[in-house]
Amino acid sequence: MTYTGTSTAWTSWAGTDTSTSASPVWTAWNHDTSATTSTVWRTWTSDTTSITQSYRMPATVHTPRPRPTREQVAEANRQQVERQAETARLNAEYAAKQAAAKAKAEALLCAHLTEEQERAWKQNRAIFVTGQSGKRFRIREGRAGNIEELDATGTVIGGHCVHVAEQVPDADNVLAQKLALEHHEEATLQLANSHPVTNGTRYE
Amino acid sequence: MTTATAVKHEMAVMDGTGDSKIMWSEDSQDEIDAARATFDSLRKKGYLAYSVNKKGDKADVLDRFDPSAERIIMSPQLKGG
Repeated sequence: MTYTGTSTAWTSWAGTDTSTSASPVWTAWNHDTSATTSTVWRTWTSDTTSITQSYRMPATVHTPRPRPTREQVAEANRQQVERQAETARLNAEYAAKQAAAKAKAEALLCAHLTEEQERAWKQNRAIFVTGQSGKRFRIREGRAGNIEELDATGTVIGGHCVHVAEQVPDADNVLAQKLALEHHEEATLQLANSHPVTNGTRYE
Repeated sequence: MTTATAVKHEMAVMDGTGDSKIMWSEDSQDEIDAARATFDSLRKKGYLAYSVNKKGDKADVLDRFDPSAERIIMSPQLKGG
């Protein structure tokens, strides 16, 4: 089918109506012979209220924020610099406290190691401990999963994860683990999450 | 009054600062009582107590406060990982 002008296009859209004036177009689209704004709205939306009454946006949405004054910008910048300085000060204070706690725990641990254990700790950050049963363990610096069980040849045959329930420096944790294995080995290993190790490292 | 020559005994309680020390002299009942109160309170919380002497010597487990212990280490209870 070929259309050559407005008239034939309209005839195609509107079916049997061959007129091209506004009135019949409206009637064909809306089944309504009137064409005022009010009736168009009702026909399209089944709503008797008008657009201007129902959909007016709140005036505040479009209220632009006032531009800050030069003094306000300067004050905001000054406060930001102050906040950054305070954060840096708190971070430095925290780091200093952590370092002091670590040094204190290290001293407490070393005060309760034999000379051989202390040498091993300073060289390798690990100590060898003999438990109540005579089993040998290697405790590495750390908080969890740092206990290795050794066989008679010094080869790692198992791992145990049991640690101090409180937040303490690692050296405190190692001392607590050492004392627990020396005096409460069975109870300590019952608490531990343990796993066997195959082809473990041989230490001595 | 504590004399300058009185032997000071020490209890090291492991904590986030490394450890906190509580000192007492055997001739000061007030100091002993304060140390004993701390010991008992920590034991109730599950802390393990060890009496230690010379460097590297094996410790002894303490179930009750011993004012004659040269040094006591209080270790928080352990938990499985």
